[in-house]
Amino acid sequence: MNFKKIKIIFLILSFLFIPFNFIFAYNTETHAYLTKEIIDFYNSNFKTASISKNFEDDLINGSRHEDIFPRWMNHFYDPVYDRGLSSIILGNWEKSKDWAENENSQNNIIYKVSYLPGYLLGIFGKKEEQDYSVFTWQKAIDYWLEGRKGEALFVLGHILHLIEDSSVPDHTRNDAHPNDSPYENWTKKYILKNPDIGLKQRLQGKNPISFPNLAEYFNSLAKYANNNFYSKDTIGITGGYKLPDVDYFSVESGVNYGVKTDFEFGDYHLIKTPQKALGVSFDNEDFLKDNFVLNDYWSRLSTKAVQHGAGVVNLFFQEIRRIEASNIESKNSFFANIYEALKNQISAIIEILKDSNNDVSDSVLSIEKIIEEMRKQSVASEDDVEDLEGVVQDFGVAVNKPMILNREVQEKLQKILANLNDLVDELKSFSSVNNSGNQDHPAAPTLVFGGGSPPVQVSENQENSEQNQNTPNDSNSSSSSSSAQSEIAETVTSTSSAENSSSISAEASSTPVVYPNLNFSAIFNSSTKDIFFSWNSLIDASSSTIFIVYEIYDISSSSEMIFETSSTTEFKKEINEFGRDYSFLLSVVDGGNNEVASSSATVSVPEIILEPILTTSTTRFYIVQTEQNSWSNIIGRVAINSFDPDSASFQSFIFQEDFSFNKVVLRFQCGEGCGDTANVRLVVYKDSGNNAPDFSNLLGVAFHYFDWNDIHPAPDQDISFLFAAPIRAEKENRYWFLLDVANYSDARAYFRERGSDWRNALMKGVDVYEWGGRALVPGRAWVLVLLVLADFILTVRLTGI
Amino acid sequence: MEQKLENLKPSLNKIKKSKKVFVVVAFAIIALGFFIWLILLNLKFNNQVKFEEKYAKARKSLSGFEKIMRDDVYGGKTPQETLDLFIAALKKDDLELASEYFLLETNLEDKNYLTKNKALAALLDFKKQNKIQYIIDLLSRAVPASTSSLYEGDYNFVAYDGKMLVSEINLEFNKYSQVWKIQSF
Repeated sequence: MNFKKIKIIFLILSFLFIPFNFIFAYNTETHAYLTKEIIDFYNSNFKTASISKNFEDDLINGSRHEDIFPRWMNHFYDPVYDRGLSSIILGNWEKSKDWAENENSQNNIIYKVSYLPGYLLGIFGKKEEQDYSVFTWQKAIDYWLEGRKGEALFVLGHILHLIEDSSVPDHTRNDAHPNDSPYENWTKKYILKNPDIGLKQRLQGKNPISFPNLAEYFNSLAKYANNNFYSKDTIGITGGYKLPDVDYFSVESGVNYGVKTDFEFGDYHLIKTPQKALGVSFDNEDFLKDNFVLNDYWSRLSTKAVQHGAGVVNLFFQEIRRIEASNIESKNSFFANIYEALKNQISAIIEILKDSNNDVSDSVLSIEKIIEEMRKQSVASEDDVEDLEGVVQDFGVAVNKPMILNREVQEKLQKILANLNDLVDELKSFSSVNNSGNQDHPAAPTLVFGGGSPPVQVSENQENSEQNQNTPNDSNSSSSSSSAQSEIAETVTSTSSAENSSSISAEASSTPVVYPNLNFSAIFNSSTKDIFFSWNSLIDASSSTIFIVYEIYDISSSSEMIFETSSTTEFKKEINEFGRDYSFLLSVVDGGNNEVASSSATVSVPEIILEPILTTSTTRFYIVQTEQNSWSNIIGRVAINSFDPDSASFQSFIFQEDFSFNKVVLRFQCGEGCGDTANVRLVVYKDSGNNAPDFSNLLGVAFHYFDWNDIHPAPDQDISFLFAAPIRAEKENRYWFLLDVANYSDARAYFRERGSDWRNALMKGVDVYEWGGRALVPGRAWVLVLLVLADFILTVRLTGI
Repeated sequence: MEQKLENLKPSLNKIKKSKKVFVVVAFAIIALGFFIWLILLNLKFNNQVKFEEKYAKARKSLSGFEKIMRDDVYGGKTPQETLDLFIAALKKDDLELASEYFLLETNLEDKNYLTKNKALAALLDFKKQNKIQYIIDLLSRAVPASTSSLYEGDYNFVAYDGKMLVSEINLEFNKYSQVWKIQSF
């Protein structure tokens, strides 16, 4: 080791305990929050392979853990120039998408040394980690396959951190600036204790993103963040990137915004023109420092981050499944080789026996060894057994031929023959059970023997007879059906139940196998023109849901597989042919590629006259009531646990034409005494027909986060509420806009009265209601009392779609 | 017997010779392998040294950043105090001092990184244009904006000309030196 090296190591060690507290991306706790959202979104979409509560903390802590120095130097990925952090001052670092999979890089002494203090202090938990610095995709897979599931998910949390960072414009536009990103500073308010309630709303109707490999997730998300959003020092073409660009400008409350068209979430504020008398500004922060701009950035980027993150988690489990399946396949081929060897040895003996002078002892020994090996194992294919049976029969003929043989050798051969016959009988007994099943199943069954009870399969005929007995309206037959089901259930396991119209086979295992009713259904939705499939989840022989795959086949036309999933139990398929029947088959396959259950469903699709598709155009208009300047006196509260009724501000609208909108802009006023942190909710209801909202008929919900401790909206400031999906209002119908407080930072109920506190514009005239009585039971109850208040100026702006 | 041994000599010599050749070739292969191994080891070592140099440089830059930020103590404990100090410096025509109340440039790729050169240049330019008094007047009538703070460490003033908003004045908190700094106006 030369002096230079010693010097460098000394330098490193001298810096070891200097903490760096820079913000280069989402705050660590914002990462934790996003990871929790990813888990929730993944669980809601992949119900059969959901991540249990026990493992949630591992993932979340893993995502926190990636943020230590100098790991975060590798958290950049610029998809335009295909580079990581590239800086004159900080040097050139690895792309995050490579870093996530590069064990060599992560194994570098630098990362181990810098991790050590945190490890020693026990700050970052997970003391059982052997590799202080390797948290790669492959490591996560390896851990899982070794059965170290908590550690696997902890490492996967590291990967999610990198994915989340790919949704930060600064990280995809090579824009590193310590503590100085408006986006990162603004988003750090979203933590586990203060979630963005609107995020779940935005995710409704969306699916996890699906790609075949991890790198594609980085490419997709980084490209989205890079091409559609600015970072502080990369605004405009001079920032080094052609995209994004402003599509049009809009003046709102005297502020000029550059707006970008967005067909997915609705148009958004890309940039603001700062109001500066002399233009003294030494960075570009002013262009982004605006609630509209930053909220619009976050609402899109966080949604995409969660969609991609959930996709990555799914990819992880798919990868595990693939490896497991490949292991089983190689195991099967191993057995095929053994059988082949056995057959060869037997054939060799047969040949040898033709000449009495030959010595068969070597072949006898080989066969004994092979049989012994086979008895230890438990898997063979049906074809192999059939072949073996033929060979053994030939062997029997050869051995029993009257020949001049050494008595000792003949006894050995007789013993082997008996052994082989036992083996074949054993295999055949399983084979006969298996052969009674459905021969049309696409996957060839695998025989299982040794250690455990024999496998069971319910025959198709048996099921059909049960199905005929168990019609929904036949109460008399239900008991007999139940009885039949019970018999099957007892045969399979003591707790399982068989399903109508489904065939169920099970592998013998010491673990109880549970196959609940599949309840496969297909329902046509005439408004969305699609068929909605749903079914119950199954677990496989090892009581796991991880390795179960559901396949849906369209058996009414080409019999092609139209959907394959490992995790969800729902699927929608858009259809183009109307006025016909569709038949579908749901086939459930386990990790060994065996079909363990199937069920069919038929749906009749009526003739439908397709409506012309409305052209999409954006309309903006104001509804302004120009009476005296006065404001509502409440925002509202939710009295969850008391008998007090909930309160809210109400306003109804009657539309002159059919109209779709996804954005409502309101105004708020805040006096001296207000101060709190809350999510204010705007809900749109249909009318009940009695000039009051129909609370059971909700059309849309939007949220706006307020921090009244610091932010005091000006009377003329517009506050936007963005709905995840457009709300379609029909002409001459009344629709109710309801404004209340969804939750507070300390989760307590809340009520603000007129006076020194805050007020809003959504309240007027005959539509004015306020709480005025006690509910009969605790919980949500609206008690409407007509009030007449002073006039005020109402400004409601709707953005049409 | 002796004759037989004599006849075998050339064969034995050949074997001895080929043994020597074998040893020499084997040694050469081992030596070559060792040499290649040394080259690879050296390459790896050099790469590691380069990497550690890069790491040390980055670490030094970041710790340098913290130190310079900590040393930047010009400013008040409140946004108003900083604004007042800035106006006072302008009134004294001390533009160098006035520029100290601005934020340091934090763009890593900017040639003025961790300096206030831009602020000083702008103030000198305003002086040339006789706009210093205008700035004093403008900032003197600034009032806290009702919707200013987007997050912790951010604060806005606004200045009106009659009812018309003419300027937003933005300040940011330097958490290292615990003072408010002017970002823009």
